[in-house]
Amino acid sequence: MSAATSRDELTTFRSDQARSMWADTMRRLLRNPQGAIAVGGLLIIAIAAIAAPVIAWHDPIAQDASARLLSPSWDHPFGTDELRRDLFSRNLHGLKTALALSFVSVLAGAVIGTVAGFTVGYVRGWADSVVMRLVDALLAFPGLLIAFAILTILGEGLENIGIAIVVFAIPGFTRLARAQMLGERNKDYVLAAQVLGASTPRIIFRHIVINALPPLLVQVALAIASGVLIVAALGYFGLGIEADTPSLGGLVNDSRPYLQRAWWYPVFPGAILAFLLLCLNLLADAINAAISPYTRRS
Amino acid sequence: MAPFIVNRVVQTIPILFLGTVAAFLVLRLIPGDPALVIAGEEATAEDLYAIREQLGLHDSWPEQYIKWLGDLLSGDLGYSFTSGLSVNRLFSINVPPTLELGIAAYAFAILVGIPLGILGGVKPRSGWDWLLSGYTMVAVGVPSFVSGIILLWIFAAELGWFPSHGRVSILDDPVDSLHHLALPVIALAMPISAVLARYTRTTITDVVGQDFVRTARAKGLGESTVIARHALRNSLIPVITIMALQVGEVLTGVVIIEAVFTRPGLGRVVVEAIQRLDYLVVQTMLVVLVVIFVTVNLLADIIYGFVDPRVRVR
Repeated sequence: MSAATSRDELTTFRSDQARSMWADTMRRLLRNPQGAIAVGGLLIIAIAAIAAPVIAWHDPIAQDASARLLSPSWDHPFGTDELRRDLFSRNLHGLKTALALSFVSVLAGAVIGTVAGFTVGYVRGWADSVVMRLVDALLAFPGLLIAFAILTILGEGLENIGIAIVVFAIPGFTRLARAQMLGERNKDYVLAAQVLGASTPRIIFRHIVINALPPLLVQVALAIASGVLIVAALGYFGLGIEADTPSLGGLVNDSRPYLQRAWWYPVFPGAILAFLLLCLNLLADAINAAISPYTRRS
Repeated sequence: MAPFIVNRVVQTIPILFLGTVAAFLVLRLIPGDPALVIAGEEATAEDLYAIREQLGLHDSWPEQYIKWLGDLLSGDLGYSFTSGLSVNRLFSINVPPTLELGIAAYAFAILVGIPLGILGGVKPRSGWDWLLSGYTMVAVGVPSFVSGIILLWIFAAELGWFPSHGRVSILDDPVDSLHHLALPVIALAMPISAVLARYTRTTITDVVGQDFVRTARAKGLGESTVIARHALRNSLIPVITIMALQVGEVLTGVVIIEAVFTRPGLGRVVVEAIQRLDYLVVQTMLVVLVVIFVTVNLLADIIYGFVDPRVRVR
């Protein structure tokens, strides 16, 4: 009986006191006002984007409003455009495209880039030199120009914009992951794992990754922000996105002839983009603070 | 210092060479036939053959590459496939406006960003620091084409204080030139200045907390000397790195801002050349980009050497 009690006590003690590294980081992130605003803002944006077809009661493409360039009203909260389309719906659908494209593509790029960076950082040698020269070459070209070039090679289409963002995202992660790996690989716990006979992939992906990963999360938030900017800029140029398909950048461009008559036309997509990018930047800062040993001390 | 600089310059040669190979190959990988673009859909096989012959597209890739590299080194950039204009001429027309915009925006971003970052970093949580956080939050979040459109709407369309498009050479009429430059420069410089301000603030705060700064204060130096001679110099290296990286942002921004403010320049040239498969123009643009990137990094390396003697011996 007494043995059982002490065992219960032990379990209680553990669940109260011990938290995983991730739960701990998450707590610090949400306790930071910046982090809380960023997470809250991104949740609102994500819900608005995912639920766009439900929330926006007008069709984004149908030209069915009662008049052109209507100012915001209950029925058309963001007004209408010069073709009698509902701008609230077009904004939300544009947001959905931008968010989905950059999120999925950056995650793909992050995985590829990180695996490559960890691997060459651990193995070193000629593979390291070759991969890092490639990375340097890719980083030399501005992201938007990479996207231009890839859209020229592959043709127009959302999936090709996605590929362009993957290509843009990879080198940043590779460089950062490699630097993290170089910092970790000579530490004692790696030597211990080697002595115990763990295989190279096991050492990299089970032991080192946990320690080397957190700074890469900051990069994920920043890369998604860059991805959103690239999608928006391509939309502005009308590259890769069909004219009918709503995009935030496209809305800003379409508004140009009507600036003096319809303030709501450029202001809403601009504000949505700004809010999204602001939240992503705040999130990057907050993650950085949550994982940094310096702020943890204070 | 001299051997250090020579060493760095020599290291750039293979990179430049690889850059020209990459620029050449990327264009050959694009599916699509420039001859067809030039001649149009109705061209006969003979027409296409003649055009390819004229452009030298029948030679093997190594032959084409060597010929192009030779021309490039002799300063002859060749002729645009689609417009027939000489590329030298295309560049001499379009480089100055882009250069004006790029340099003005970069200088403006540095003049706003770095002092703001220093003021915020030296006294965290002061009024300057709050101004800095507010400014960077807005400036980082708003894409340059959005701020461009909004500036255009308020200051050109509504108030009529600034022209909404076009460009005047700074050599012809400096005042009118700056008048045309003001809005594009602000739109382009805002996000860049915000990034610079943020990094400067972070590095300055780190440095100001270190022991040698306390020592400098303890031996009775004035606050401005402490900041300018001791703190600033030690926080310059990361700031220079970010400044070099931001040149890439200027290059991207120029393409966007030229479109927003309908300014002539390389941005429009490159977008049109890509759409029309104008090999030679795109190839040359890519080489120009590589040269700019390599030069900027070289300069950054050399400046590191000046700022921090330890870099020279490495």
